[in-house]
Amino acid sequence: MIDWFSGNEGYIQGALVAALLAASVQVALRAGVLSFASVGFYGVGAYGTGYLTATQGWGTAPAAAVVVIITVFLSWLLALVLARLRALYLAMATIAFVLLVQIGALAWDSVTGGPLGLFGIPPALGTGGVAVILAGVLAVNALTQRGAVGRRLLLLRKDEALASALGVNVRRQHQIAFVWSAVLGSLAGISQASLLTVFTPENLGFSVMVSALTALVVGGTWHWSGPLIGGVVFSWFLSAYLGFASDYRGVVEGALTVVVLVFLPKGLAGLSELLDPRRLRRAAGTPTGGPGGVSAGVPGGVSTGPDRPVPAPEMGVSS
Amino acid sequence: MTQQLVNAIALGSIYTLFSLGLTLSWGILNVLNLAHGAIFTAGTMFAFLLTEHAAGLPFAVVLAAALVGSALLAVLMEAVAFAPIRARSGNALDAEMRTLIASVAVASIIVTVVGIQSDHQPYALPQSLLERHRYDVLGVHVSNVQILVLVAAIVLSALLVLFVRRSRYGRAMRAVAFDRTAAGMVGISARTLQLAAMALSGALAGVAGVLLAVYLGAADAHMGDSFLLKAFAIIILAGVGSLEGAVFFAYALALVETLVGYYLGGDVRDALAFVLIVVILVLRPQGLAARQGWQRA
Amino acid sequence: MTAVLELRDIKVWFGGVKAVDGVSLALEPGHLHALVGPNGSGKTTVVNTMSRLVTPTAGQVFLDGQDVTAAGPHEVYRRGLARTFQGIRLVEGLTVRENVLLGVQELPAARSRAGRRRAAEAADEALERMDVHHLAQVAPAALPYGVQRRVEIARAVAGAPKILLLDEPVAGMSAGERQEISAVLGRLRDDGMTMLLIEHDLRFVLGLSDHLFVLNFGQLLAAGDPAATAALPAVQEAFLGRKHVPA
Ligand SMILES: Nc1ncnc2c1ncn2[C@@H]1O[C@H](COP(=O)(O)OP(=O)(O)O)[C@@H](O)[C@H]1O
Ligand SMILES: [Mg+2]
Repeated sequence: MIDWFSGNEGYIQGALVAALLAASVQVALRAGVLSFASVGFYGVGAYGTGYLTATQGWGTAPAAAVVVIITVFLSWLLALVLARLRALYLAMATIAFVLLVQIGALAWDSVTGGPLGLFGIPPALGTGGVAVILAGVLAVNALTQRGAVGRRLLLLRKDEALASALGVNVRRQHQIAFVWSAVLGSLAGISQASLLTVFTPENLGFSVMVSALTALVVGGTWHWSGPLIGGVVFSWFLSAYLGFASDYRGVVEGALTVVVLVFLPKGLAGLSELLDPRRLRRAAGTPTGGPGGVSAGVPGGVSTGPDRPVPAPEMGVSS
Repeated sequence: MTQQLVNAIALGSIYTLFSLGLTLSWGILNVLNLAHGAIFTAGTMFAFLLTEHAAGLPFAVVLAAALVGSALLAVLMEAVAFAPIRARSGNALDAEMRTLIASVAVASIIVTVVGIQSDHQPYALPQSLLERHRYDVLGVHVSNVQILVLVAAIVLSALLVLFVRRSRYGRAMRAVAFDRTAAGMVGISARTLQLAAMALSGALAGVAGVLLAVYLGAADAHMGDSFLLKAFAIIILAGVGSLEGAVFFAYALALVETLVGYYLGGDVRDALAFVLIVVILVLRPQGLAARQGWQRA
Repeated sequence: MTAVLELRDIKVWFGGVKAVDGVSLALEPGHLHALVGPNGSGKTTVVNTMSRLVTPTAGQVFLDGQDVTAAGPHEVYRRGLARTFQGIRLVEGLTVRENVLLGVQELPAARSRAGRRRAAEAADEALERMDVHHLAQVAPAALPYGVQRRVEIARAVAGAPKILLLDEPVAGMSAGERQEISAVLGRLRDDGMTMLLIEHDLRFVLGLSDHLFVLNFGQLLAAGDPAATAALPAVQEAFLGRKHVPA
């Protein structure tokens, strides 16, 4: 058991960080915010912790606390700046932000160490510490997927105008989701820096975004467990058992993502639902597919509470 | 300095071709196609493979082959990924998000394959493909490649603008960009139109890629990445779907970048597009986020 | 008597389109008002302006005597203005009951634990009033159109609003379904609910409303007692063009 753990620890760590990062993107998406800014805050978290610990000699705990506070502040500012951008415009602005963070990491030598990056970051968190952070995050996400908050999130991403007409302060909710997403990204960065003890601009940017999105989509975009499943599948099983950390990884990741997007809109987390007999009956009783169709591709169908929809009794449609 | 301006015009021409393709797919399919840069790169790889395996082909044939290859690649992506995803999406936001992620995934596939093909090294199209000549015009060096790039950009964007303005397809495309259900009114199915838009978009990316590879003398798997961001800036400046605006701002951005690079250095030049994106989006969001959710009310 | 809701000289221009062009009207407490007009006359835009989904180019909106022109849609909802939309807007992935809970859960009163319990009770009551309580656990997409509409009305009234705006609630419905909705609206009026009913079919509102507004090309053509207003030649012409008035 211990042998097995030490043999796989690197992969497990990879899975944990990937899951955190995927969760950071998820919490924005599930509120209807098409933002990838958390991947930029991943860099802020990693470099912030690295700088405060390795360069300034702080302890990891105070450094992490300060970095999270800075993240909240910066992401809140960014949320105000980007407040009126919607959909693809917001996506694009946040991608620009992600790439800008990478440029900043290369250029701001005195803090980031430039192209060489930072090293000698104390490995204070360890696998256990990161696992605890992830468990906490997933617990919060699981709780907020249920009840009133879960309903509000579903409403927000399905129909913003309706949400506002039912009393939801849409802009405020988007800001909260944006900041929470940034904090999770930052936590992923803090964890990664502490686990690797080194952080360079190569650990940032577009490829990180691809990995996070892949893990999220494959695991399940709308269910709290999706990031965990995706992280484990991607960073662990594929790396450890298929051993293609190298060349073809990009192809397999990309192809798997497309296949899941097309055929399994709820990701692997949605598979459990396919085995649920009540769901099966519902799927049989209602039309599927088509834009605005009923059950097939609709996100958020993973039940959010105890009273999940069941098939309607037969009713004559009067006409 | 005048020499710099000549270079800026060549760069602006590449930006033009690249941005026109991206603004087409965004305007007509409402997809933020992050694989556009990868298709651009794939165009150079098609050309490279062709010159490797069939040396001595004329440049025009190689360019045409890359154009067709890139167009097919874009159509394949639309048919295999975007269209099925759109068809199964619950609402517009869902469709936008999932096609965007799919485009990232496709980009990852293409860039990885090109990287493996090229051993992760820069690759060059053979010198013999296009003999270089330099002319002195009023004391400024102008190469035949620069002239070619400029002429290609002017001719192709003029053709595209004419096509979209005058042809039945073009009218249907504009109708669809305005109202997604309108294609049928012109008697063309939305399906055909979407495929046509992606084919045009891919073709433009492929041509831009080959021209850039010829102009710079080399290409590599990641060459499309930086262009993607520049094109975003151009499209936002111009307004999504505006072809004439994209042409204008492509040259404007190239010019400003060249000036900024000359006077302020390369770092500032490289950050310019990013800063522009954020600043424009923040200053003129109402002009940009034109389609409001309330319209459905 | 102060109006529950008042529009003062509202103009809503979309670029060159004057969707609403100088509309003033007041909704009196406990009345069922009807706003009728041909398609494209600006009815939905009026409702969107009242519910603050659309910001008017000029003019003011008053709710309970207070200027809410600059308020957000969520704010006027929390202050007692509820609406339904022209198309059915139920959330998929939620049951009928969960959809109705959306109507109460964002209200200030639902913040506390006790408040949440009362809100859930109010939702259940609304389900019962609209006669859809037996469908509480059903997925709404599987229900007939008329029933979905009643679920929407249940959601709108669950939070006990002061005023309810209904944007063409019976458009596209069968005669039987129209009858059902009409009965529902009658009951709400008997309960003292202030309502604005949007409709493009003049005949449907005639027996139902206390007060009629007629909109044409973004302007109020006439207002007043339903039967008298409907009989005005200008109104007849707006609705029926040059065609003969059916008996
Ligand atoms: N968001 C909008 N942008 C541009 N024009 C609009 C918008 N909303 C409505 N309109 C136009 O305003 C006019 C009135 O529309 P609407 O209020 O929906 O009428 P009705 O509900 O009476 O059918 C129509 O000409 C419509 O096209
Ligand atoms: Mg209407």
